[in-house]
Amino acid sequence: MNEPTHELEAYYAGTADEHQLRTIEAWLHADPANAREFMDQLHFRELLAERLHERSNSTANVLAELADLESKSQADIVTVGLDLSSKSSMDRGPLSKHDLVAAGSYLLHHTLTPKVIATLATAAAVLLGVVLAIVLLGGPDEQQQIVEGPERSNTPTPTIVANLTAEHEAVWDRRPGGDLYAGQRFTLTQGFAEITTQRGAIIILEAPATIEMMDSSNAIHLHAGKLVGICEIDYSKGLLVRTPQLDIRDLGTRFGVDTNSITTEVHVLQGEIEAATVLSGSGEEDSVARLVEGEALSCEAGDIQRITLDANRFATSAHTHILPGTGLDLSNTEIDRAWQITAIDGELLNEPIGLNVFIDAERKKLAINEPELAQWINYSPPNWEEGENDNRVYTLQTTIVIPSNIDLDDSSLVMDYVADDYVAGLVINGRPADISNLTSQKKRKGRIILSASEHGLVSGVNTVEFQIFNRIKHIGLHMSWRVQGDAGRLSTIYP
Amino acid sequence: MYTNDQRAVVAQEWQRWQVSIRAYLVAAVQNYHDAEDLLSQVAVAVAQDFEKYDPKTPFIRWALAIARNRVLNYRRQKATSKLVFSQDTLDLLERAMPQTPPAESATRAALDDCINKLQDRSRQALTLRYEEDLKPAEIAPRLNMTPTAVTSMLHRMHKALAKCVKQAIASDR
Repeated sequence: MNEPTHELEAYYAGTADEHQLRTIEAWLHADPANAREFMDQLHFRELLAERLHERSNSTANVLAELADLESKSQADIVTVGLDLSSKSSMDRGPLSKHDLVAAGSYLLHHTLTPKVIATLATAAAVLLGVVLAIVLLGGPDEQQQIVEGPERSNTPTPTIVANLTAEHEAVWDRRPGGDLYAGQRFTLTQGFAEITTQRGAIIILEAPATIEMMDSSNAIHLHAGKLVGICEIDYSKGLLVRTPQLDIRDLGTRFGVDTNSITTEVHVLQGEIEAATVLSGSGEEDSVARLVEGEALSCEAGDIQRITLDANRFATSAHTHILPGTGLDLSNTEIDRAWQITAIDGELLNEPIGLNVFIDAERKKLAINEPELAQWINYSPPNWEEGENDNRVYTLQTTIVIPSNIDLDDSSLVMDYVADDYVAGLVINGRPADISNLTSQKKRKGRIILSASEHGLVSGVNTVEFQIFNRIKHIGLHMSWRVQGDAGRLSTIYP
Repeated sequence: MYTNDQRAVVAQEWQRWQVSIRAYLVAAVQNYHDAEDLLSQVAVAVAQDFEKYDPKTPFIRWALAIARNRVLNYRRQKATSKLVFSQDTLDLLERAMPQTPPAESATRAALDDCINKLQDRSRQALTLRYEEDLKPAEIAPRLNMTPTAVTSMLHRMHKALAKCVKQAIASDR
């Protein structure tokens, strides 16, 4: 059955009708590879959307900054310029030509006062100079196409067959990446490592061990050393562990293998396996043995002997230490009294509701400039009836501390946020802040910049209330904040 | 395992899998906004129940079980809508999910280069599709094309981008 191109695009766009849906279903069921292709495409498009939303947001930020230029002082414009310039070196990547053209288009369609033009030249010469150059010179080179160079097209694409998913005090002869490719060979000289195959089988490797990734989504070649194979989900059954003497095929189980160039031992800790001897050199299988839980065998030179199970020799987990990375730090996943819902639709609650707070670096990159400092505050009330508290405005209150070394006269409080569903109001130390430009547009994400002195911020403790309009019962606010123009950091008080 | 270790494991696993889970939710509900809301619910449930996760089992299985329940609730609430896949199909898609986390960081890194290599018209379509969230029928008049031609172009472009990314990742290794 051919790929139903138009039906799939309609589905991806969210517009598929009943007939299109059933056509896609027929295609999905026609071949398991189609279902994998469908999920791969969805995953790819999610990444693409995420990337392009970031771009869109950076464009929006450029425009927002530029839109505000005329109302700012010379010092502010310098700050904005530097801030814009610094974005080009941030993790999320440089402002693209597309961003710059968008910004340039804005400039073309808005009045540029002499003050702004003069200040642009000094404040953000590089970045905004490029903007103007692009506008004046007629835009970016639009003629490029996707190039499939001969070197690339002639290079076979390596297949990811497994992932390194955990380690404990691991030392390797050469450091593997997270993705493991067919044909790669590694020696673990110290510690433990966990490898998960594409089909979900878990392999816990114990040093010293040498492995080679086979061209299969569920297999590993153990040249020497010890491992435990764990295949506890249906999809992972059939894991093949090849040793110099045996092909060990899992039949839904947990088993240990210990091998060297002469002998291989297999111990079945749970379930059942099948072991077939391999004639040296030919790869041809010879005799086959089935083992169930509690059984073990040893194989030397094609000769299989039953031996006594020794379960204690094998590691059961490599999860005592996780791989370094950019993962979340869920150190504040408990209900956190530092963030509370204090009112619903303006009516104060007798008992404020504590919120979940994550220090969440990566969930939303969209408007968050300092992901390592961003907080994700959320709440899904467990006891509220369906619809009971939908379409209401929730007041989320917290306190921030402004360090005493910050000069409030020259500082602004900058908040980047993504809200579920949007910020309807903001109150600083009991005084409403004018953010009508955001609230009127019901923007889900954006940046709020408040002059510290004008908005009554003080050194020390400040109370901040976000009024979040929420359509359904999950409430979320993802944000970072900082003081612009000063190195001092704000901190949330945890009582 | 200590609670903090468990937290860290769940956190890292969530980080690795959240785009895949969102893709599953999009497949399940055919509505990006609802999928995003469901993803938030799943994230909260994962965070609240992190101690129940058994690190010996694949995280994605555990998280998908939570996601599945949220999808079932969603479907109950929208019982009149027929515009969702059958449960059989959802099960099939769940089985088709990768068992190991996709190589997202490499994909992200390669995406920009590949997008920059697109022809202007394709790039414009991409912008309209993702940044302005327009459907092919809405994109068509903006590009002076028919909706069918836009659909075909988007399909080809996504395939070309995916291929470009794959090649870029391969050549970097």
